[in-house]
Amino acid sequence: VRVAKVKQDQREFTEFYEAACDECLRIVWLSCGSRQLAEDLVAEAFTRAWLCWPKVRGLDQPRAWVVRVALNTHVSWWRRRRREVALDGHDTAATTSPYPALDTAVLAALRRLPPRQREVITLRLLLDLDTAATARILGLPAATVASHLRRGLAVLRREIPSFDDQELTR
Amino acid sequence: MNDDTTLSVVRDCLSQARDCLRAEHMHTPASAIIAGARRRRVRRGLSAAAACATAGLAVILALALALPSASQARAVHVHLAAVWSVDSNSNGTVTITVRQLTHAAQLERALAQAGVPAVVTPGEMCLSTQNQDALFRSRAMRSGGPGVVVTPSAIPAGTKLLFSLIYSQGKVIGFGWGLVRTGAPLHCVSAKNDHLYYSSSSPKPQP
Repeated sequence: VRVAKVKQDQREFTEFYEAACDECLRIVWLSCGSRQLAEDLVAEAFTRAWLCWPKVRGLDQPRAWVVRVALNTHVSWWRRRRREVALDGHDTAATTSPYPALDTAVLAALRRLPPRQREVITLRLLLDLDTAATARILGLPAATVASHLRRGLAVLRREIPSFDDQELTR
Repeated sequence: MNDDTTLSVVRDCLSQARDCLRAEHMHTPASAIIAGARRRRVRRGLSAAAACATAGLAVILALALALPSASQARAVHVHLAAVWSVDSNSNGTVTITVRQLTHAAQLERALAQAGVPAVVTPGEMCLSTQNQDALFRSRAMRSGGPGVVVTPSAIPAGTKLLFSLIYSQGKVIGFGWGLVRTGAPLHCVSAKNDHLYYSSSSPKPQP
């Protein structure tokens, strides 16, 4: 009976993974800016999802849980690696991205946001969750989520003056 | 511009960026995720059991192993121009400041004399999540002023510090530290192949 249950869990997890992994990859890629890193983060998040599958399976938004874990893992990895030393001037090296749409000021500003604000904006705008669902996933009061969203948007608006032009043309 | 308009503009922009990635897919199959989780579960179980069963013995062994290595180390103060420096401190720690990863053999020698077993890879990237995490868990290294402070006695027996370059998109962007087993083969890539480094189709480097 136990073997049958494990096999059924594996089937369910595989279906969930195949349905959700690409979307999670794209969202995490937008947030962290690197395809390889996003692949590693999403794989790590799905590994953790499988390790606590009975809990994740019961969530309203298991994809949002995976994205949140991937973003948190990114922060943890960054903290562990912050002793790495960057060489002077490496930012000046021109790198051509195969996707020019990923080099916009909006995404650059999004990646500079504090982790919590970035999480809220990612879940609200990229996964299209409402405030209540975002609050449940993050374990925060809805008012706090709204506050993080407001602050994040204020930063984006301040850092991207072209928004005003876009508003005029809308 | 009010919040709703900002929200709408940002949402449009992000959706546009996400849509341009439609052709991108995860390369890792579900079976690899499940297998990785299984290995991790087994490893955790073994670690917990081993930790409970051999806690006392580990303390004795650690003391026994730490004493000879400390006695072999001597005070070292080596400064190689503006490239790197190694300084022994009075409390047994060693301060390392690296500005450029060159003169690898001399750096390895200076570290060995200071009681820090190390391997330096000046031309390749040999760091991985695993060997960086291993160093983090050992607590053998901490930031200290312009450099790092290494506690040689905290380096687990049979392991070495790894100093390696970091590449991104074919360019050297810095260098970092990890912990690897002595004698174990390193899995390294050169700058032109760095896109293979994190690729799920290539074997992941092991610490």
